[in-house]
Amino acid sequence: MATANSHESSPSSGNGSSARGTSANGTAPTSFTASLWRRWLARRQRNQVRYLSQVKFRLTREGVHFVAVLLFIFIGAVIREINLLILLAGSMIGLLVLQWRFNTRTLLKLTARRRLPQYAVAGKLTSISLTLSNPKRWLGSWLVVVEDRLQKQNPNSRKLVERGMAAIEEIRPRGSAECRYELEFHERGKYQIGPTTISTRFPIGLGRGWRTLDNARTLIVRPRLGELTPNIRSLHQQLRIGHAAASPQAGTHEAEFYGLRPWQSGDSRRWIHWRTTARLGEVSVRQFERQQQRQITILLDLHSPKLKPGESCSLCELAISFVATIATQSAKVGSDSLSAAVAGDTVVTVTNVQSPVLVDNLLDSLATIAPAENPDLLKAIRSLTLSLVANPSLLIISTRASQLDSLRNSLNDPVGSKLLSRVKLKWLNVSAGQLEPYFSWTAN
Amino acid sequence: MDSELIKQLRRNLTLHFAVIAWMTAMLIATGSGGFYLPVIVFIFSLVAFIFVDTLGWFELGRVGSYVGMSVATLVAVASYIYSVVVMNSEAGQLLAVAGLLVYPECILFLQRKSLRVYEQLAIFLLLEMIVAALINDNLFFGILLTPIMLLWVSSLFLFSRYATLVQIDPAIDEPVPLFVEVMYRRFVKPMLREAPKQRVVTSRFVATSDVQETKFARRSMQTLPIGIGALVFAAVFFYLLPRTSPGVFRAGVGLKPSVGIPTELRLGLFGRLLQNPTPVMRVSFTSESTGEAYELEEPPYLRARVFDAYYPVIARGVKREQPIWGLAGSQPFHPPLQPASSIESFVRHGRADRVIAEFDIHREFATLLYSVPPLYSPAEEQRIDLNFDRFNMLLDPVEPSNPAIGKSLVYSIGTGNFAKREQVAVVPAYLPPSWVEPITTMLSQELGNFPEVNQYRQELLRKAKIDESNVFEAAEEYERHFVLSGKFQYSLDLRPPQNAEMDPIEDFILNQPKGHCQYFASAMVALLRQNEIPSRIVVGYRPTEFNSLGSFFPVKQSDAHAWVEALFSRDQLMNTKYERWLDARTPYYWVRFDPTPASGGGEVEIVAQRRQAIDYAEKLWKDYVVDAQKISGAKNIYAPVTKDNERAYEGLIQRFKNLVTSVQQGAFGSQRIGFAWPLAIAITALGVLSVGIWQVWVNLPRWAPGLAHRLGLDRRRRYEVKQAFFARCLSLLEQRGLRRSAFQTPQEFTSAVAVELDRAENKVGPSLSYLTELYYRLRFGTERSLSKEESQGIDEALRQLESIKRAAK
Repeated sequence: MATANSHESSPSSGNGSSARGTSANGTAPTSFTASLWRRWLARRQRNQVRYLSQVKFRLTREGVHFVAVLLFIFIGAVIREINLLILLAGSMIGLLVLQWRFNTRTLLKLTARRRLPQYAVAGKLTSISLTLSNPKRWLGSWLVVVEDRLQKQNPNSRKLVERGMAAIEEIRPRGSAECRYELEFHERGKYQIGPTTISTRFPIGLGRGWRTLDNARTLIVRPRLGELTPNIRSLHQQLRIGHAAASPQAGTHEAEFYGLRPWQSGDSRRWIHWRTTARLGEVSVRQFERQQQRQITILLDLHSPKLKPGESCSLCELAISFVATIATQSAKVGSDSLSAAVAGDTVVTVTNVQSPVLVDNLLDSLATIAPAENPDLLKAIRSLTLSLVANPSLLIISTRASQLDSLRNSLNDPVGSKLLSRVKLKWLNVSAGQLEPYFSWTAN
Repeated sequence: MDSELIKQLRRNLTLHFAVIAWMTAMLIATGSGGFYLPVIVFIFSLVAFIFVDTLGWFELGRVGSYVGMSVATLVAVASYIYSVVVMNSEAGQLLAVAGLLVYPECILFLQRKSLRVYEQLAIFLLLEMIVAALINDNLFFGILLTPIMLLWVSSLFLFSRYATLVQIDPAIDEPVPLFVEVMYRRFVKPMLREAPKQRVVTSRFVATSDVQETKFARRSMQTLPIGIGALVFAAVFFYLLPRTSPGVFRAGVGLKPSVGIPTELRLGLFGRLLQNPTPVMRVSFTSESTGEAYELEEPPYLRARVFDAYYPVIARGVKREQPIWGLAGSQPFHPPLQPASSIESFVRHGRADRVIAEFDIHREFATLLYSVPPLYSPAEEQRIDLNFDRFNMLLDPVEPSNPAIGKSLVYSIGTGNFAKREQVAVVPAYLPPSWVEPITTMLSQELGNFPEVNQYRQELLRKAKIDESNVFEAAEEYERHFVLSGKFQYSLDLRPPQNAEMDPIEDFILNQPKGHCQYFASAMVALLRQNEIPSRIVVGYRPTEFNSLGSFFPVKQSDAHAWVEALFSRDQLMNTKYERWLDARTPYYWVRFDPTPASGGGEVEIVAQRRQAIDYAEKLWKDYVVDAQKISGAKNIYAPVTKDNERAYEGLIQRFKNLVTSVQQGAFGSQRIGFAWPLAIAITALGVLSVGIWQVWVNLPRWAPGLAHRLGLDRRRRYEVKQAFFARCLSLLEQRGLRRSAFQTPQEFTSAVAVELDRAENKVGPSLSYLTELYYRLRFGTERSLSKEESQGIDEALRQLESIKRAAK
């Protein structure tokens, strides 16, 4: 059955995880120096977290102006010994002190819980909600601004100017309050949401207190989906895909038992295989294979000239969206089987995609892959060998003109050459507009 | 965001700033007397609130704002130049500065409101508060300060909310761009040809209405404690702020000095004199011995000027419009006030009380100082130098080059002029032997050729059967005649003389016996001098109202009074009521006579001041806030600091200047500014050592927990057992060397201990388990009390544990 090959390592979701991992990986200290070093790292990490979680205070622009006038008044009062001005300065200092105390005290001990969707789709609104709790006994918090920093991690890692922001009027003592903001991602990728900064200018806006919480999480933003035009059927015909022999193991029922796998979010409880669950101590579910109608094998070639930081390749995005749309459609149909290899900065292969979970895996991979100047097409084709044996037709979607000749030339091994010679190949050059008959963007 | 709610928030904010602007302008107006500023602010802000912020009919655009600001600034600068060059008025200059703030405010009110506009408004209003504090230091400022402060806090609440919303969604705030921004967009940006940036993410704030709303009740509830808190802080700050120099009497701003009492007295004017209720000063008397208020039975005489020379209409070939009184006998040498010992003899002889008189003179009258002789210098340091004219018994006026421009001038003098709560009429005269002849001659000189007056006087003495040579009795008879005869009446309605050829004094005595104190005093001096008694007129104040709340006499212009002083030798005063005051070493004495009858007849009495609470509040405001002399005097808690650090700022600045000069002269490295290497090394070493000790202190529990525990440095908090019997149990076991570990529950611990002690043949297991069971019940159970049997059981169990201890020992 299907195997999803992930080539990326999962990045640490929080600031503290990597250091904790270092100290908690179970390896015995090799020397006294190593032990000291680990302790120092852990301490540094702890200090960083502490520093971030401290309530910090800074004057706002209005506060700076206020202090400038205050200094003017105070110096004038002292030099000229004008007591009314000293009184005035005193009341202004009083306001500043109260501002500082409120800012620092009201944010203390506040905790935030963020609810993220499992994934987001580029071009669609994603709602993110946060619940702030105030465990303090007496002091409430007012006019709290919740701000989530956004960072794009993959592809094209960069910090973003945009931030997710929401505001809460009041969090009562020993109470909680919820707020929400919406994000519309224009680019696919893996994003870091957070850490959350909670801040307030309450009561009089002369200063701003803020606290950063250690709660950064990642969110996969899948490629924007489009629509397949009716011409896609002719493409299927050309490739002669979907013959009955493609699924010789297909059972008499619509779905046949295939194997077991660990439980994943979204699986039905009816699929749980209780005996195996009891034996392994973790929930396992049965996997089914549906009767296949068509088999599609796709190679996505994400070639792009070297991009500047922050730039994106629109042709690549179009090609990725096309593959993502085909994958989504095949999951909808339910009986199609899709095998896809994506050659970009890495090679990702997902074969026999049938269930929604596997489609999700493919879409997640498509979300994070980046184009490359020289994608490793040979490796991608080799990773599809089994699928091509079963279904000897390959649709190559590329952002450049056909590279088949050079591919054939570079295949040295006899098995590869033989395979390529019997496979029916179709090269769609996106840059030449060859995708247009089959795909169009959905009007939002 | 809900645009209606945002608009409402802006409207609210504008209204707040408008009200603050009105109130601040009113403060300026009440201090300066010019009410056009609040009127202008009121009109502009009202128009802006209605037509710009509420109806949205118009607003000043970019060009309009720039033009408006320029015009406003020009007008204010022009009025400043006018007040400096043409009017030469300090108050006018301050008003022009106020205008420089108020006119741009008006333009800002007419603009479309944005965060930037509100910021500018706030700054202008704050600066306007400074001008108001400079111009208006009356109680009114203090009264208005609280509502203004609350309004400020309320508006800052709204401002904070608006700024927060702008921070979340900058699209709600569209400020009029700055000139620099306009230029950048117009010229620089096209040159740069920057490609528009593609947004990776679009964030959308999901607003809830409660964030945008401004609930009045809630805001008020939050404003009150914060505003009052700020005011309380201000008061504490104000009174705790060390003042390193004593309150200096220096020039203030605004009013021109006014001469309360003229330098010459004019007689012969007619018409109705109006009573002038303008406050001049507050005078309080304190007993030096008790420190309490010295209450008087009669209104006091406060001496300001002396007139000893009378110039008729035609005198020495000079013709005047009216006859005048002037001063001819002033003495050039005016030494500082002498200490209390200088009047010791007089006080001892007459058994007088030593009283401290404090004069708190309003700034416009503070050119003239007042006295109550005989004087001495009090122990308390004075803000001004007090020089004493010993002959005229006057304090020197304040130098015109150092005019009084603070809120008021406060000084104290010691006086021995009171006994048994009454002011004594006799005062020793300073008259060196060489002065006797010329002075007595000058002061005995007749006012004019008044033969009919002389006849009148002689007739008066004859009727009273008093010999003319008995001068003191004669003088008393003259005073009695004016006050008690009923012929003379006090009147401020002066009529033209019946005989225009006669001198006004002669006319007053013979024809028209109605007039005010100056006429009575002049008439008596005329009689005294015809009797060859040296005499002169003294002018000052005699306040009749008393403020019992503040124990002071509020002195008004209308309290001005004139009386007479006559010079007698000691012999002439023997066997009179003043005999006990006479001292063998003092040959001459001044005796005060007041020939003016009370306006309504009868005695002049002290009455309670009307609206004394307000006056007292104003005095407190002045004493403790505006001038704050009560907190900068020698008696306050900062007195030691003050004493040692007088002119501290000046000293500091001077030292800094010296340092700069030395550096400019390249004195670094020379011997003048040396670097103390040994000291620097010692300080550094000490610092490093301190840091090291501190680090050891902090980290020792981690490095060596055992050692830290022995030293008592471990910061592990021991679990506190609140149940006394179980705490005692644990303590007994600990003394036996059995300590509960952090990982053990009490049950586990006592079980383990029981096993261990069983091994040592100490059968305490049941006792321990009994105690533990009870502890658990009291600590975690619902029943929190012990029965009598249980208490006995506990005692028994503890005794068992104690026996183990003894056995162990």
